[in-house]
Amino acid sequence: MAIPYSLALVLLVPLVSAPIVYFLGKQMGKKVGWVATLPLIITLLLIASLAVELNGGGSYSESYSWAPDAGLTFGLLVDGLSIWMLITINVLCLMICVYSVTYMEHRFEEEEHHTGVPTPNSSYASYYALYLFYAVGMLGTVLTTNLIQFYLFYELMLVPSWALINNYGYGEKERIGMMYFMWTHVGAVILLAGILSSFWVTGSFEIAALAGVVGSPMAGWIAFAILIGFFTKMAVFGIHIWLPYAHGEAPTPISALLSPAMIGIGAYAATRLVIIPMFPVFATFSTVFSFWALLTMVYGGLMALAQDDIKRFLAYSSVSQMGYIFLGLASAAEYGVSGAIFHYVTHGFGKCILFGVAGILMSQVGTRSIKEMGGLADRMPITAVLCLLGFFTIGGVPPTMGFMSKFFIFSGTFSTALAGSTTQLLVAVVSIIMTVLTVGYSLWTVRRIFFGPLPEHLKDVKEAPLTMTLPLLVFALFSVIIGIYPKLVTDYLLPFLANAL
Amino acid sequence: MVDIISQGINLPLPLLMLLLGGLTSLMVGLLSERIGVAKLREVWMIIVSAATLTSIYYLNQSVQKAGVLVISIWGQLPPLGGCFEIDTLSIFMSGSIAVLGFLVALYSISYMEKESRLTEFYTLMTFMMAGMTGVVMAGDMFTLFVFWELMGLSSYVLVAFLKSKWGPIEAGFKYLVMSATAGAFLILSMAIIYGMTGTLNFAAIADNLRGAAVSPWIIALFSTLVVGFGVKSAIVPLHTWLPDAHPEAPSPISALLSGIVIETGLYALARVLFLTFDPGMFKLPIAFLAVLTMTLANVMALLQTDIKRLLAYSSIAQVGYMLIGLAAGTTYGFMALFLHIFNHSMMKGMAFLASGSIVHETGTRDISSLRGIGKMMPVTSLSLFIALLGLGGVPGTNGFISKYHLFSAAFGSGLGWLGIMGVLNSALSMAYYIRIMQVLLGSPKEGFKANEAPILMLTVTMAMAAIIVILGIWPAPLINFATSASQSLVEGLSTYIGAVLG
Amino acid sequence: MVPLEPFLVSVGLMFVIGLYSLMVKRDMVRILIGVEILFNSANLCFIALSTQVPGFVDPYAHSIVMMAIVLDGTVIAVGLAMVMNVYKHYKTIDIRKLRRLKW
Repeated sequence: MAIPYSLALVLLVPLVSAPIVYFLGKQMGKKVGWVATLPLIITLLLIASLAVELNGGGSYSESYSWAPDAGLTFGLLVDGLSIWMLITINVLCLMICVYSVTYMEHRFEEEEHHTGVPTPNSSYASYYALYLFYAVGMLGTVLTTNLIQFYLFYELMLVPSWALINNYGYGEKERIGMMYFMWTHVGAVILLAGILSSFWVTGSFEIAALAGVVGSPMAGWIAFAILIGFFTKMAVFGIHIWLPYAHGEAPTPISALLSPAMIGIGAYAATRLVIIPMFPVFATFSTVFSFWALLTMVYGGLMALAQDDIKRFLAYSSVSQMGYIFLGLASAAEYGVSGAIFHYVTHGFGKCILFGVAGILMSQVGTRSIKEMGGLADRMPITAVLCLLGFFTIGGVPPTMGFMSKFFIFSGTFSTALAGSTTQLLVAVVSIIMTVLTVGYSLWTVRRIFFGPLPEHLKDVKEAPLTMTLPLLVFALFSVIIGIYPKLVTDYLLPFLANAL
Repeated sequence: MVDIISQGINLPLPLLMLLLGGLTSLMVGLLSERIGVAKLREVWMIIVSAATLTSIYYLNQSVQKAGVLVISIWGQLPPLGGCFEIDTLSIFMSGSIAVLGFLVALYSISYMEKESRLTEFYTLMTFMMAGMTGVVMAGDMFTLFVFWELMGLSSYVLVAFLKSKWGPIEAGFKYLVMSATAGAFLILSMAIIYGMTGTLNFAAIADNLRGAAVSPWIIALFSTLVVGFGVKSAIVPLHTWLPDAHPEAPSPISALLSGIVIETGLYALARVLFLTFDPGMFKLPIAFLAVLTMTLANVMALLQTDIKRLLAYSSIAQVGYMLIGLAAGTTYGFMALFLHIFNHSMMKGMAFLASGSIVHETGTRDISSLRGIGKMMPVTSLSLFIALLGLGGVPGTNGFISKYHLFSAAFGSGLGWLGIMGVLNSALSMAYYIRIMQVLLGSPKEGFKANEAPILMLTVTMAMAAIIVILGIWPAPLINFATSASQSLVEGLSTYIGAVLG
Repeated sequence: MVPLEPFLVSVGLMFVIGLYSLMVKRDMVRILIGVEILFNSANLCFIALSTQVPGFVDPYAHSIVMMAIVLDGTVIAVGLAMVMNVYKHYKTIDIRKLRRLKW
């Protein structure tokens, strides 16, 4: 018994609130951040009610007609695959909104010091309005059933995040904003080319109709074109170049959304659009993809070890984690793919904690360079614990949920590898050994930042205010609870994928 | 099912209104100067455009009833005499012309306030719209040519309107010479058609010439037609007049030129090519021209520093996308072409109007010196932002809807490589649109001040921005209209022929 | 039947002369003369093709050519008005000296 129109409301509530937030923000200034959390709380309640209803399988969909003569329907679907994606995105957006209130205040103060111009209220207003648009884009991408609608939300994610980097980023924000936009946009138009070709093969724009592509001579090209769009978003090796710049120079709350929430949507989309409907086509590429995934994983890990700037370090770590997710997808097995989606959730919460910690360090300590930090555990105990938990989550240490997700991924990889060729087996073994890289860079960084002697210039560092640490504590709580009780997630994922594959 | 109305001089109602409106506008202008009432001629212009819009609506009803409406001009029945043949496609195009003309007329009340010779301005604008309406309603080649030249003449003078500066005159002269040459090519093509069939009537040509085997004369005909219509539509390499003409013309005229004059050229090309040749024949040459136009224009646009010149090159690139729809040659392809014609008129028209407001307030066209304009002219910048998103093909705007239809048509008719080139060019074009957006969103330099534009200009730009977003979210009615327009062209060919030849 | 070839040859010749004048000459008036020659070659082509119907000369083509001459004349008149304007301001009508708009 679900609330009627709940899916449409999930999209409409933030969309309609965005202009309201803008106008309120021009009056209220920085306090409007609290107002902006309201739509996200409403959507979270809606999604939670759907989650309760879906327990044990099944799906819930709504469909509205858009332009039926042109083959466009506006359909919204939530099932076992997407429910946890929605929950993750929503919780992340909500908590980061709370986090941004303090962080952006600090950021604008910094800029006032720099330029001497007081920050107008419209800066806060447009930040939160764009933030809500971004949230709608991400939620919409996960919910759609129609390919053109999917492309609409996919690009809708792009424009607000570009505007946010362009206006509120660090460093050469304009150049980097354009770099981010162009890379992802070129990937997206190749995706569009694939979608349009598939329309001529199957005659419909529905995602379910993509199964009809299998068997046509263009199937391989179409699958590849669609996948390129998602790979650019996921920043696999070779097309990853934009990620360290964009995530490094975006304002930290936005990095916290870009990295965990958005790039993983590429993985979800790959599952929904390619793996499930066009499974035979995808399975033929399995070996190549697992090799590519391993390359991404190792490259990200090694580059992360070499970084001094904490945000670029986390960005490369994201590249490496996307490699894990890609590995899970490449295995094309039930456990592997569900592990990949589960790892999206893990990485979402874990990386969010880490970017949050990075933001705390930037605002409290005043520097982004790891070299200049040290021994901060005394002064910032909560932050240190959070950082450790974050790294444990993505590193796969029990009792965090990272352990379960990695277990699933490797389970899937090995099940395919044992049934396949020796190259696949080799890739699987090497990838397990390479997990040591993740743990390595995590612990080394924690040691450098939080332990060891406290340098002179950091003697007055204080702990971060509650509004910044509370969201991160919420994430850590999720991580541990799901780690101990992974049934919460797997109950939805596994049955769905068992059926679909 | 068709009546051939022939009683003396008989013109379709919208055309009659525009022509009479133009003539009387001259007199009203002189009157207003004599009696000193300031806004009389502007109000007359608004009345004329609104009346035209209403008459198109009524004409549409007669066309829907009759299928195809044939109006012969001089009492001589076609195929001997000239005629107008009006089907849904003509209604679609004349509707686009009238809508954009009305909005631009509203805008220029405020924009051209301080200029002199306004009587000539409004008269010429009315005649230009009359010419365009005549072109889209023409039923034979010579009627098309007469109104084509009317449209051209008015636009030459309008481009060179601000004659105290050198720029407009050079641009106007270059435009005139190139367009006149194209006119000569058109006469040559008419001669070839006449030599081959003995008539210039479209229906008779479609009956006789269509599907003929490719011979040197057919190739000569095709090339002269492409050159003749291509100069006005700004197909590369015949586009060189456009980057000079559009920036130098006054902003409302740039909006009209970019928004609908070059599209009328494309309409004429589409109509004549479709009626004279089998689509399979011109698929590859037009596809080749499409790629050339898109790529060259996008690359040149990246190098521009003047905002109106950048928008002019962007128009050329958009013409390239429209040529993709023409190359596809199917009902779907033509539907995409006409849909994009209307959407582009809204988007590019509004982009020129909004940048016209900006230039009006700040006095400069250089992009880098306009940095931070978003903070000072928020409403205009928001409208310009939406127009640029639409031109780049970002979903949520009507530009995306028509662009994806164009690329889809390319994939559907076997020209997959053309579709890929199209999407990549679309992505490339975002690069220079983002450059303008960055300038809009940036922070202003010291001492840079500008006021928001006058309320009338604001209303027009906001209304067009609203149209862009609404049509992007709810495109169904427009898509239906464009589909019926394209069906009347492609599938209604036999009705078209039958209407005249019986 | 009047032989067609001489007509077509002269049309082609006039066409080339017109284009040459248009592209190469520096004087604005000469450019306009080139355009006019181009127009006339197209008109000549029309007349030439009208003689091909055996037995009589089709008046349709001639009426079209007369209207076309009027239109061409109007276009050239507007062009000459622009030339006069340029001369009044800048005392020269050499387009190479007056080309100021860049690429």
